[in-house]
Amino acid sequence: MVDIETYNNNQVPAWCPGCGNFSILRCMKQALSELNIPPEHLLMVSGIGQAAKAPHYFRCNLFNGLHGRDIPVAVGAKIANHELIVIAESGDGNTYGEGGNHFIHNIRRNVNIKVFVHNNQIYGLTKGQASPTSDLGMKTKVQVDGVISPPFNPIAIAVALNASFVARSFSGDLEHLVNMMKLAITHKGFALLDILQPCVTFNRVNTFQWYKQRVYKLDDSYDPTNRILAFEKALEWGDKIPIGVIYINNRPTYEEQLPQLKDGPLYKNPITGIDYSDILREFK
Amino acid sequence: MEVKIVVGGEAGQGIQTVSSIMSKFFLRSGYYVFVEHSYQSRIRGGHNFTQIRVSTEPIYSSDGGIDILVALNEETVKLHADELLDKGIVVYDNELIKGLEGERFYGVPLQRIAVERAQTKVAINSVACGVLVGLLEGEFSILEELIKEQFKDLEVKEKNVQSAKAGYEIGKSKKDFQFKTPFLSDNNKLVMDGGSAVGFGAIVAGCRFLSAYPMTPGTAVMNYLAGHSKKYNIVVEQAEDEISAINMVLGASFAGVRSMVTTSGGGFALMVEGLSLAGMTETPCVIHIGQRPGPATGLPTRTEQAELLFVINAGHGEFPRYVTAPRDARDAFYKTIKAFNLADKYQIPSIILTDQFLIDSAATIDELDLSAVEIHRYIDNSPDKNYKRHLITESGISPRALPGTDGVLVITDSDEHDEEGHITEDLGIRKMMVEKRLKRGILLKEEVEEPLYVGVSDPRVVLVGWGSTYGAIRESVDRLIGEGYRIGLLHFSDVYPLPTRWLGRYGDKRLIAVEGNATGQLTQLIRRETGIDIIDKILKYNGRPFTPSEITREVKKIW
Repeated sequence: MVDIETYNNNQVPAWCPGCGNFSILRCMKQALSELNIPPEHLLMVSGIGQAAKAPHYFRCNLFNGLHGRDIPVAVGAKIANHELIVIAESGDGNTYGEGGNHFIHNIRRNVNIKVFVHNNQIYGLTKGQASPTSDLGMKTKVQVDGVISPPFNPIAIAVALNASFVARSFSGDLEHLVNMMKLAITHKGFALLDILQPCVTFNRVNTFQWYKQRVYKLDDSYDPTNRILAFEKALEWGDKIPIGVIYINNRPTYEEQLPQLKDGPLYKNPITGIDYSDILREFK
Repeated sequence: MEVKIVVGGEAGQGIQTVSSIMSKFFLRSGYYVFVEHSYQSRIRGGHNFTQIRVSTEPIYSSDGGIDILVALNEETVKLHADELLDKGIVVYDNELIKGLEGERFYGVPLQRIAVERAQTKVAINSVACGVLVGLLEGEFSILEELIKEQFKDLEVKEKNVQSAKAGYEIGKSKKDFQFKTPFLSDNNKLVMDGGSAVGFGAIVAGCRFLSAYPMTPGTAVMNYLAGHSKKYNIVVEQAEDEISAINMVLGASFAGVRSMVTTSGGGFALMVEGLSLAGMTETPCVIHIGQRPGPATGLPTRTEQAELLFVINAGHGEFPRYVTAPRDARDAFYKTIKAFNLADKYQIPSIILTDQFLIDSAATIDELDLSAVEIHRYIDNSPDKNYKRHLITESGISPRALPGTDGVLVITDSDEHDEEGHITEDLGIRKMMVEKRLKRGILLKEEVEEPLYVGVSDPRVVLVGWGSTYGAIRESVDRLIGEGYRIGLLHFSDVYPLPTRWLGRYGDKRLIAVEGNATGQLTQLIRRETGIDIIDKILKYNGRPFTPSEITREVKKIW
C-alpha cells in the first residue's frame, strides 16, 4: 500500500513562496500514490530549471541531468529497464527550447516514457528571460521591446507528429492535474503533459488569474482520437484555452517493436558465458 | 617472400569484395596479410583503391610499391603505374582500356568473361580474384570455398565460381611471373579490421546498448553491433544527434546496461557536455572516437591523430577518465574490453581513440582467447538500506546500485550533490565531492599499461609513437636494426592517465616522436606530465597513414 506520505522526503524546496511548482509537486505525489507506484519502481529524470528540481523533493530514483537533455536519458534508461516507470519532468525552456530536437524525435520514437512540462512561459532559474512559449509582446530584461517571435506550440507539434498521448492541465486545478497525470502514466506510449503554471516572480502577464479566467475543461463529448479535432484544440490559445486529453493515438511503442526486449529487461540479460564462436568464424 | 597487390577502381565497382575475399584467401593459404583501404567521400565514382600486402613473415602495416596492380578502370593505371616495382605487372581489362603496351601490361577481358560466365558485369570481382590466384599459383579450391561463402543463392554461387575458374585458368597460363603464393599451411590466425575489433570487443565485454549518430569513420562500430544485434540481444539506436546519443547511453548505463557511443571528432565535440555529466554523476560509459583529419568537417574519409589533447582535456570541470589508443586490431579488441571494465570499476568515462586507418585496415592477428576474457560489473545487487549513491569512501568509489532495486533509491545529479545524490550548495560537501571524484584517478593510474618497447636492448635512439602508427614504426625499426642502427620503439596504447614507469629506463635516451598530426600532441602530453621535451619529431598530416619506408627515410635524416 502506497500513500502520499510514502513520497515525502526531507528536502526543502528552493522555490519562491506561492510558486505553481508546489501544487504540481503535491499533485505528483497524489497521482503516484493513487496509482500505487512504489518509489523504488519509479525513475524520475529531469533537466535544469526550477521545474527540474521538483523530483528532488519527493522520494524516487532520480537522474537529474543536463539542461534540455532529460528525455534522451529517460529513453536510454527505459530501454535498459522497461519495467521501471520513467517520467521526465522539466520546464518549458528545458524541453521546448534547449531540448527541442529530443522532444521532436522522441515523439516519433514512442518510447513509453512520460514527459511532464511545467510551462510558465518564462525562464525562472536565469531570472526572467522569455521562454519558447512566451506570448508575443512580453517585455523582459532581454526582450526589452517585447517578444517578437511567435510562441512554440507544443500541443500542435505533438499532434502533428502523431504523438501517442497529448494532454494539457493547469497547476491551479489540482483535481484535473492529478487526473491528467494518472492518465498519462497509465497510457502505453510516449505521453506529453503540458502543465500551465504561473511564475509569481517573473511572469507578470500570465498570472494565476490570467490562466484561471481562460482555461476550460474538455468534456466527454470531445473525441481525443480524432486528429483533426485535436489540431483545432491545439491551435486554440488566447481568450479560451482547452485543458484535458487533447490527442490519443494508440500506436505500438518502441519497446514492443524490439525483439531484444521480448525475454525481459535488457539489463537482466546475461553477458557472460556466451558462445561467440560464430563471430570468430567471420574472421577466418 | 612478400607481394604487394593494389586493386583500384571507382567506388561501387566492388573493390572491397575483392580485398575481403583475397585477404581471407591468403590467410587460409598460410600467409600474413595487411589490407589498407583508401577511399573518397562518395558512394559512386571517384578513385578508390585497396592495398593487399602478403608475406610469409609477420607484417604490421601497408607500404609503398606495387607488384600486381589490378586496374578496374583507366584512372587506376594513370595514378599507380609509376609505383610498380621492378617485376611488377598491371592486370587490366584490355577490351575496356586501350593503348597500354609493353610486357608490364597484362590484359585480360575481365568484363567479357564475367558476362559470359555469370551473365552480369558484377562478377568481374570473381574473375579478378581468379586471375590473381592463377598468377600466384595459389590453391583454387580455397578461392572456390570463399566465393561460395560470399553468396547465398546456389545459382549465383556457381556462376561466380565459374567466372573465377575462367580467370584462374588465364592467370595460370601467364609465363615468367615472379611471385608465387602456394598453399603453405593451415593456421588458427584471424584477419580483422579495427572497426570490427572494437565492435567484437564491445559485444564480448557485454555491451548491449549503443546509441550513435552516423559519422565516418566511427559508424563502422555502429554497423558492426547492428549486424549482430538480433543474435546477441543488443539494442542499437540511431539518435537524432550526438548530444542525444551520449545522454541515452548515460541513461541506459545508469539503469544497468553496458553501453557505448561511437563517433568521430566532430560528433564527440557535441558530446562533451555529456562527458562532463558522466564525470559528475559517476556514470560509466564507453566512447569510441574514430579520428579523421579536422578541424571541422576536415577530410571525412582520411586519417589523422589530432584528437589526443582534445579528448584528454574535453569536458568542463575536473574528473578522471581513461583513454586508450589501440595499436592494432588485436589490441583494439582487448582494450575495448578493458575500457568497459575500467568504466564500471571506477564509474568513469572510458574513451577508445582509434582512427580511420585502424578502423578500415585489416590485418592477420593471432587467435583471440575468449576464455581468458574477464568481465567485472562492480554492481551492488543487495545494497544496504541506508544506501547512498555518492557515499564518500576511502577509495572515492561509491557502491553502485541500480534503480529498481527494492528498498533503496538511486539518486544522482549534474548539480553538485550530497552523498544521497541530492542537489546541494553546501561548500564543505562540494570540496569533499571534488576530492572523492578525483581520488579514483589516482587508482586508475595504476591500471594503465606501460608503453610497449620493441628494439635493441641498448638503443641510441628511441622512437616514440601511439595508437595506429605502431605497425609502420615497428617495421621501420626492424629494418633499421637490420641495417645496424641501435634503435628502438616505445609505443603507447594506454595514453591517459599517461603511464610513466618507462621514464626510468628510457627517459634519458634520445627520443624522436612519430605522430600523425602537425603539432606533436603526445609530445606535448609527455612534456606536461613528465617535463621531458622531445625536440625531434616526424609528423604527418596529409590524411594518409605512415609507411615504414618514409619513417626509415626520416629517421636517417635526423640520425
